[in-house]
Amino acid sequence: MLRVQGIDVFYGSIQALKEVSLEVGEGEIVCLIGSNGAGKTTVLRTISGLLKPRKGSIEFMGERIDNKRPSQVVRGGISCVPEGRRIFPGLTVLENLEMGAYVRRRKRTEVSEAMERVFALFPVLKERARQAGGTLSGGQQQMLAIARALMAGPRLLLLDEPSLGLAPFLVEQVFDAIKRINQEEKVTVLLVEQNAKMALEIANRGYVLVNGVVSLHDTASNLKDNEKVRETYLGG
Amino acid sequence: MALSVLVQQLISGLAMGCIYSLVALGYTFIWNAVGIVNLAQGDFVTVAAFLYAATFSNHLKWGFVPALIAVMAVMALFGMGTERVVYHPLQGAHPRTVMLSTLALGILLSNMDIILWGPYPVTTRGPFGQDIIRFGDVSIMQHHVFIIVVTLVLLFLQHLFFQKTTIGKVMRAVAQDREAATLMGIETGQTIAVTFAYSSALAGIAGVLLAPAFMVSVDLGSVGLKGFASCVIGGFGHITGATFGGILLGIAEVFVSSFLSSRYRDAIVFVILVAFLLLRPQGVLGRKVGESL
Ligand SMILES: Nc1ncnc2c1ncn2[C@@H]1O[C@H](COP(=O)(O)OP(=O)(O)OP(=O)(O)O)[C@@H](O)[C@H]1O
Ligand SMILES: [Mg+2]
Repeated sequence: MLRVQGIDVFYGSIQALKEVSLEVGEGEIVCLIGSNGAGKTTVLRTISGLLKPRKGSIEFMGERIDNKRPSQVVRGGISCVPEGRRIFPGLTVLENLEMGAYVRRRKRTEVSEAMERVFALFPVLKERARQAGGTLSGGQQQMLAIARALMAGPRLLLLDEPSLGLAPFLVEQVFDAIKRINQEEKVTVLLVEQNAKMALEIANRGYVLVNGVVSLHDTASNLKDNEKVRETYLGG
Repeated sequence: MALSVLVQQLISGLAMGCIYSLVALGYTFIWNAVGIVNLAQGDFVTVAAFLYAATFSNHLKWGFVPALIAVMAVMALFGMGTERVVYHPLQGAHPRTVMLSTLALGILLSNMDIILWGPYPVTTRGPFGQDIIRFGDVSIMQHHVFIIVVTLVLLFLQHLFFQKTTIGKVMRAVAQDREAATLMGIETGQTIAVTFAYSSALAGIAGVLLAPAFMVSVDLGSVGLKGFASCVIGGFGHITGATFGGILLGIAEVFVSSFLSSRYRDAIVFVILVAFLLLRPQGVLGRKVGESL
């Protein structure tokens, strides 16, 4: 479904990604793990069209997307939940969701159906519908960020460290939701995490990114058993 | 001071305050969207005042409403042009660089005013001329009441626009988090162009409302400073703050000039501005002034 092939990405003259390749098949949950500054966010930003690779290509559903603008990528069926949630703090929950549905704002019935589905997934958002996004708790903001991304009706969801800064029981909730989104909503997931334990728990396959290079990729269960991965990312 | 005089002063202060609010809002929307203070905002007001007084009203003899709409349209286009020429090419640059380029635009405009409309002040009658309404011994300029009414209507429409319309919500979203908005598929570049258009149209309304009450000359550009001071008073980047800051300043100005001397009318703005910057830089309504200033 998504095929990233040998991309090099730079910030100015600093190279953040070297020859990164990865694949995500329809219906999968694939995780990308790596420590601070490994380049995980950069991978997602490049897929989203915020950054252009200097080399290599990105294909989605058989079509090149690496030269497309972010709006075209979203329209094409890829939504992103950015690192740090990045909800619109001064917009209400409802307005945040409306912005998520921006690319299909004219299809009223689709939008209200999507709204019902995200409310079913995260009932707390319905309770808080008229509250400003900035007044929600961290966990609720993360749910809002995910719900907002779903409003565009994506086939592939990119998630950047959804567990960041959340209490363990909330992390559990968020990961449950991701699993349900994948199974019930049939949305393919590419999940970036530093919390490798949780990520490998729900993922089918995983990639390990070290200093901008994919150093390892395998099924989630093999990665969990891998000596190096255990030492570095799972705390031995 | 007699009560009647007090009321008269209050109304004229409110009217000027409304103008300052409009200018202040112009600064605010651009500031919120791109973190830039458009230093040409005051000169936009002058251009609009000349356009209305000299061109549409005196020369073409258009009525008030069509002239107002025409000036707003021209100014909106002009705002978009400004975004393209002055802001867009400098996006990666330090905000100070962009602000310098808006300063240059302001200088260019005030010279262009003289080339296009001549060095002499222009007067125009406006919808009410110097007509006065009397309530007992209170006499009020009709045009002042008109300024207040138009501003109130505009603020109401603006509220509806930002709360209810998709483009209004999109403009808020872009101002709050541009990259997140990009990830929603919003064309943030276009949204910012619309924001510039709207801010310039506000300057357009301010210019049209000012023109009948004053001699139109490049000196009108000083409302730019007053609008700026209004933003500082209310808290830079704060929409309600900008509105009330303007009104507060308008009223303070008339009272200072009637209690002390009209010679201090402009000086008081500087005093208030400096006092706020020193003592309460976040303004009456809170929120810190950005560091890029
Ligand atoms: N805007 C930027 N300008 C310059 N360098 C950047 C920029 N953003 C990231 N980098 C650098 O690129 C590298 C990869 O960063 P990236 O944010 O992709 O890492 P990450 O794996 O997401 O890290 P984290 O776990 O901290 O989120 C880092 O060395 C970082 O310093
Ligand atoms: Mg990151």
